[in-house]
Amino acid sequence: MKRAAALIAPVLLIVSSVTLLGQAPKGQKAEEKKSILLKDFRPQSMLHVPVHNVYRARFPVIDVHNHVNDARSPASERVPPADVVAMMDACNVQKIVILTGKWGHDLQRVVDEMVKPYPDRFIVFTQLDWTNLDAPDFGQQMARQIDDAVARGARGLKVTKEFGLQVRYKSGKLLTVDDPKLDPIWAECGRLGIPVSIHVTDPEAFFHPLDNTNERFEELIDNPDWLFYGPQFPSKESILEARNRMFAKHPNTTFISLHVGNWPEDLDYVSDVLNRHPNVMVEFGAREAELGRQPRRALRFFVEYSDRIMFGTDYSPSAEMYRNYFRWLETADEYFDYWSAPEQGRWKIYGLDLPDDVLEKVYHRNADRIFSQFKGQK
Amino acid sequence: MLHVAENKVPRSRYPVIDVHTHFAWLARSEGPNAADGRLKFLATPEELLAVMDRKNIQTMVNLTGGYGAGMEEAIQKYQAAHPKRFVIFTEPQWHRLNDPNYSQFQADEIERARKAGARGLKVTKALGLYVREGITTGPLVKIDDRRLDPMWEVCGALKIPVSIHISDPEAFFLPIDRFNERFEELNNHPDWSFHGKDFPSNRELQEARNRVYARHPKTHFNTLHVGNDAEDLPSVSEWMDRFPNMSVELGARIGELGRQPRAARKFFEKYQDRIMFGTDAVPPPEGLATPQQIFGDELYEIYYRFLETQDEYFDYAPAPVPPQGRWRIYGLGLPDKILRKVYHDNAARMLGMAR
Repeated sequence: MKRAAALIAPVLLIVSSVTLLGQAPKGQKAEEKKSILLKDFRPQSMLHVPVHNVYRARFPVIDVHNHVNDARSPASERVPPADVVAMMDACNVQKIVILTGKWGHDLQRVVDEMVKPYPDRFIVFTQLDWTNLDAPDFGQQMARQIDDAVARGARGLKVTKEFGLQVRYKSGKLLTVDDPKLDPIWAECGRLGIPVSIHVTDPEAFFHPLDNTNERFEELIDNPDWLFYGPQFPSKESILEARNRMFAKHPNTTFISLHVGNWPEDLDYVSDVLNRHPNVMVEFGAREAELGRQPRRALRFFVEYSDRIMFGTDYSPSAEMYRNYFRWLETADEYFDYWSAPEQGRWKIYGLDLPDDVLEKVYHRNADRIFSQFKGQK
Repeated sequence: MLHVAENKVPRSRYPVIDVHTHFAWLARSEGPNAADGRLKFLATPEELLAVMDRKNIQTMVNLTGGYGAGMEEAIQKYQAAHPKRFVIFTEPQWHRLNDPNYSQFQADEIERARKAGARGLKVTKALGLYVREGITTGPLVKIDDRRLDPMWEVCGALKIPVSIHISDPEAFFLPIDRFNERFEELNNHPDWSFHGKDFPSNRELQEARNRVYARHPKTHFNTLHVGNDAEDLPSVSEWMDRFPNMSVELGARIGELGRQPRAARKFFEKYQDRIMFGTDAVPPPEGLATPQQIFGDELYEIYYRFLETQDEYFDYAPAPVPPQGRWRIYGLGLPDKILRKVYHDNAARMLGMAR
């Protein structure tokens, strides 16, 4: 999720690299050097490379990862639904999936505002309420809550990243992702034919010290609660392994493993997860930056798993945002900004130039297939 | 944090001629007024040969060979002692610019240098950016100044190439501020900034250079640093199309080419007979000031990886911080046919070396 404002200014200075080699620069004393704050450094690319703008997606798009007008948006951030639909029409975005719909009355409000007026344009997911985690029948309670949510119009379950990192029993014990207490939840989603969109762990850099070697330094300075480095946190690998055990235990439930299985930095690992768990899909919300800086490896991944990858953004919907994603997927352009750059890290991305058949699956066919699995009650 | 393939290339697939190195240079090499002609030798032949043998480097071309006695010493010490392994170029004597008959003197000097064994002429960026009418004062000497015509002509007549460095990266012509993508590099080398003062624009320098190319069609100009506008391959391509007597080399520009691997790959395909391998390597400790040019195993492995593999997101220089700009590069994965030309054949042809 995108954070609105930076609370703490980045303080890393850009200074001479020569001093690192122990050499005084020719004719100049180190103290005379100019320095700038990293946050102020906005290098303009001198490259003259082709720019291909893509105003409309080549095929209709389903954005499976969004939060527009969700259950937690304050009134000040809400966008008139008709404006969103007009923008979608302009860009060839057929549907937007609002993942964070909560439950009960909050959910009902999103259904009433977004889904009922535009049943073909918005889909809403429900979420878990961790409040009663210690109750012996927590799993069953949540299964009933999901039944209610589906009756109200929800078509999937979203699990946010607190799961595995921060959700604890009253005793202080961390809830593990494969805790059997949750089995009734995953089983119920399978029975209803609704996917579970699950965010487990975060970028690899979030598990490293926040220092001058961290490639997501500025992002972590702006969002200190995203740092999961330290003894109070399990390792990224161990959380993902627990997640994979849970995937294996519920083969009849479809899991959409958000943010490219949350390890786009290691596509070999994600490929292995997809090979081992046929019930798992991925989407690439807010991971354009990671995939776009390894375009050749990413293209191979897309071609190999073209039936398993869905389009998702995780950003406030706007024409500029979608067009940036379309350019990344459809063109062979080089060295351009990912959406929100340089928020995640100071690098540029490269287009994937996906073949049409892959593009169409990623844009909407795979999502169509997943949502057509809906069974509902009985 | 990326886990991507790393393919090490300890030896190049074909023997290499590095057409752009500096293992000797004028003892007072910065600026135009190095009058005494004494050379500083930055590494012994044996030190160089050890690396060359490990890295499959057949020949190193030392561009900054000076002139006169200094140059002759370099020829004896390197080229004559190891004829297939080292090549020495000569340089103009800008400090004599205001001597009577400089124009003819300079042409004659090149002929003498050729007889002494020099295999080409190196022109540094001093021409256009440092050399002034009063040597160090007054207006800048124009690149297409008529006084230099005999110099360009004699190179064509002698069939020796001119390795010419004109202008510099586009960012060097912009203010050194928070928008400059080469901020740190310019901070480390403030004398590389050509913003303001009476400096011509990058384009004006290039156009003056192009007029020289047009005026001397029988002279081969190896335009260093990818024509010194690797950021703008469309323009370099246009010049290559206009001037058949122009070629380029790669020295210290794989950072630029490697951040646009698709455009670069097309450039290599189209101009595969006119691109030469060069590094601008400088042995340590002098080389440490320019980490993208430190002569040694690591530097050549990076170049080979860039040319031969399709690896992604790796450093273009052996340095903790990318010295020319904070980005990473991508390999070109060139086919064998092009690799052989770029590594060796094109340079062998330019230097008149037997196959």
